[in-house]
Amino acid sequence: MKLAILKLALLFLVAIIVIILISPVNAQNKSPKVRVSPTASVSQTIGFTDVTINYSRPGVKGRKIWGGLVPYDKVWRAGANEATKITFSKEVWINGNKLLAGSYAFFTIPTQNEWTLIFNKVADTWGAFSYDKNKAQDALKIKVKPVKHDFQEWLEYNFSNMDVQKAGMKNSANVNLDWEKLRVSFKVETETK
Amino acid sequence: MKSDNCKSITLFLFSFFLMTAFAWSQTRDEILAGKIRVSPKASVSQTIGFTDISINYSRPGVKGRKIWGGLVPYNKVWRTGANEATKITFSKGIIINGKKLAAGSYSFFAIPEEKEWTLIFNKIVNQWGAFTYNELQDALRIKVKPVKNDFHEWLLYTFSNMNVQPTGKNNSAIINLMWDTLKVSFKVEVTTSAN
Repeated sequence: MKLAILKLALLFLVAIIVIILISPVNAQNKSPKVRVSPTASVSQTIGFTDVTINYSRPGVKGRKIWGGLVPYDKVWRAGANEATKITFSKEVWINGNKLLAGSYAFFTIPTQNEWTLIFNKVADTWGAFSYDKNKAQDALKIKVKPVKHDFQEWLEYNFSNMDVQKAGMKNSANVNLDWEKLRVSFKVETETK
Repeated sequence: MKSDNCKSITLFLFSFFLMTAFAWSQTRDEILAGKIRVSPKASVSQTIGFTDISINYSRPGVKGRKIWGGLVPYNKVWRTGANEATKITFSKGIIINGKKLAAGSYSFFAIPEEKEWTLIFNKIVNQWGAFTYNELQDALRIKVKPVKNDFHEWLLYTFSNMNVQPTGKNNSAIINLMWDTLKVSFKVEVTTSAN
């Protein structure tokens, strides 16, 4: 009787050890998935201010994008997966409008001829699904006109048109969102006092 | 003994404090001296499969100058940017135009010629320009052909042509260096096996 209990206890112990040994291997075998829209980032120093954009890059893949995959008149995360995040190390002026230093979720509302660009204070969020809830957290909304651009398979943010000036003067650059055959841009100005 | 330890810790903390203060005052001095970099700093990063690649560089402007065979002379090692040598970091081992390169950070140089460029991945990172470039520390050299491209006033690195495949298969992207009316590209391939 005693021996039987001992045997049972031993078996139990062995079973536990085997489970412990196997489980991490199992975890490793559950290999992560490659993201269909790869993550990317781009950053630029403008004067003494660092601007960083973290985003994911969806591909066109032969689809109709504007007014199709990205419907008009709806809030769009301006990328894929997590909402696009834009961080300013100091206060900036976006198309002339002051915006405080910090991280923002960057959304857009595309329409055929004019886009609304939104800088929202809730920076780390998945897509635009909770945007309605966080609407009150908008820090800035501006309107811009999209322009025609060379075809771009993978959505890309880049900085162009740098205006480099001496300290004390304003420095600036354009942030461009390029995808399919459209470009949407806004100007970022910084103080260097 | 105990008080000796105490002394050395205090000394260490004090020197650490001094160094930090010094480093801080330098950057602060730079700002106070009002030096804005003529070639602004920039970086770009891209995940390919499970591998992160980032490029840290400075962006010179064309400013109406003759670039190729002018400001950037042919047959000389160039930092492919401005200021500090361009730095490229791979979080895992990768394959560049078919050639293996170990994970890590590299200085990225080029030797431009009219028809063919040599691209160099050098193990000494954080060096200023190509002034102390040491060929013996090269990890990889490849040859590529530059192609005509839309005019870019400010030197720009981008990632394009992503080939996204499910886990287990190779993923890839193209890295482009664009300036003036030239584009120089190479392919970066990664494995995505489970281990």
